[in-house]
Amino acid sequence: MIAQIELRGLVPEVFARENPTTVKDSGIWLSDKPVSFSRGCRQLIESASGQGKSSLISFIYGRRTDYRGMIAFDGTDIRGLDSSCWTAIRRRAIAWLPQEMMLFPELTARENVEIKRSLTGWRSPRWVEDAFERLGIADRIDSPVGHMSVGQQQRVAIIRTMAQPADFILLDEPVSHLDSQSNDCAASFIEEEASSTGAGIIATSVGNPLALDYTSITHL
Amino acid sequence: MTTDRRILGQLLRRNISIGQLAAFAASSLIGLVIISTAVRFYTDITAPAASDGATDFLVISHGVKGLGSLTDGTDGFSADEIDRLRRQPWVKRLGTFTTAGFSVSAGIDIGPGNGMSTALFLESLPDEFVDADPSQWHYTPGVSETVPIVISKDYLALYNFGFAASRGLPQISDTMSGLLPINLTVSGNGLRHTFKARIAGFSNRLNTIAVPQSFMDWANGIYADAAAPRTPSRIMVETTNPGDPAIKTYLSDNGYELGGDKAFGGRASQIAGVLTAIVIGVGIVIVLLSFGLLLLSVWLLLYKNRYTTTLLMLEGYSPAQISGYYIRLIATVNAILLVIAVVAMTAISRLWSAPLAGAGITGGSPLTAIACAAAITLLLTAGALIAVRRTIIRSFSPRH
Repeated sequence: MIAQIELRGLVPEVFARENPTTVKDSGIWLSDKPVSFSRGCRQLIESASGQGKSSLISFIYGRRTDYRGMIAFDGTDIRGLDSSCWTAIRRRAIAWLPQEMMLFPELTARENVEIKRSLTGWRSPRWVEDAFERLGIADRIDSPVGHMSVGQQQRVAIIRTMAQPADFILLDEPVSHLDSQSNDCAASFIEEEASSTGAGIIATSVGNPLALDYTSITHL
Repeated sequence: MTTDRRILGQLLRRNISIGQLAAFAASSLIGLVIISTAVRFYTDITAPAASDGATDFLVISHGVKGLGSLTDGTDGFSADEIDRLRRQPWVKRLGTFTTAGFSVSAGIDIGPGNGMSTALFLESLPDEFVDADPSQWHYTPGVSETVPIVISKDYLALYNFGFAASRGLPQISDTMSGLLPINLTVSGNGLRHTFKARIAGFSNRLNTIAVPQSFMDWANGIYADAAAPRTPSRIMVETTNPGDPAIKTYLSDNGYELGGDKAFGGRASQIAGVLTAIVIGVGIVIVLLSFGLLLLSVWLLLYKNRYTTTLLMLEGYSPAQISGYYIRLIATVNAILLVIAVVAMTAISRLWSAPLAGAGITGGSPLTAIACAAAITLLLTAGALIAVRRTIIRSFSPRH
């Protein structure tokens, strides 16, 4: 279990090298004091595009390592984690929804979720069907994702992200293509599932945030 | 879990090129068949030699020099010489010939009034060097009724096609020879006795007329002149490798001679060994090329599927789960190739089994050839396994 994620002097390599002015007013990049997120938090990270929101999420998820400074899970520098640690973390401790969603277009919506669900067995197939129902895409459950609209794909990606146990849920612009009604619907679904396990949520936004009651809002 | 496997397979199967897989399978199969067939051929033509002894047993004697050896009878091997020979690395076992120190004549009755008799010589060797049925090859003085005799196959041919043909006498076959009633008359030291004898077999290995060692020792003790020196004039050596050039060098350095066609057997197996090595070398090159093709195909496939594999690992799939799919695929293909190669090798070996059987070679065990093919398949699979795992691990975090 991960109780706390801490960032110290963190900055993307590319900003540190080429564009130091970008990070001047940032609440996270090269912050004087450590930035930390605790289990159970509702954290929103806001910024204009191009400020490195997706980079931050990717750094925390271990997808990219092109940063300076340190990211620590409960005091452990994540640069030292090997592939088996990351595999365990991605199954049990951190759920991730990438901005580009990264679904398999040739698979159906159900199969895309099943890829994740069957890995941990955390949720039942019935839970998946209920989730599709709840997010209003039950009629598309057996359609190939490639044939679905971006908004529909975003909801499939949300269900996939929630289909695993987690201490932290990283949501990179999760509702950028949803109307406000679908946003509310997705937010209550995410809030309900996260609070049932005590998971923290770290969400990013460029102006259309997931409709949660945030405990903290940081400008990147 | 089954849904999981099915979807995973559906994703990872993408971009697998049937053409590349077929090219690898074909070349790998050709290599495997060549190697296993060559090994099978080599074991077939050498293994029976080991069992009937034609090439693995050498008979060594001093060269006969002028008339001297006729008169003084001291052309035998000294204990020292035998000891030095025994220490040579190519000598597995060694047995000395014992000559009879008494006169022998043998007579055969072929029907009433049709007898014939001839002066004869006898030799003996330690029993383990005689290629006769062990159940027949024993003699206990005073107990055994008949003396078993083993005769060189060459002598039988000499009689059948030379003597019998020119004198109008009946030819003798291998099987009926055992029924011939032979009277063996032994004399010396003023004593004389006639034994019943029976042919226990014909030997490819022994170029002599042999009786059991126990009979020879006993008869020498009674009929031979105890004062006469009796050093062995011939030695039989079982060698680990008749093609070993060290044998030829040692023999010529010491002025020894090698019995007749045995040298040819060694030379033939040497040539067969070289030829086999060349063919196996060609097979290995083909297998290596096919392995290179497999590696290239695997890398290309993993490169094309890197979005899928990377995403699956981001989803929490372990590198072992991803590579496991490809490894199972490669292992299955290789196992099928191995089975086909063994079947093909067995089919091809039939081509030479009949001609070889005609030459008196019955064929060896296919196990060595199968083991070779299996070992190569195992190595290839292990190599591919390592390549797949390393590539997948490397793509685990591309920006590490």
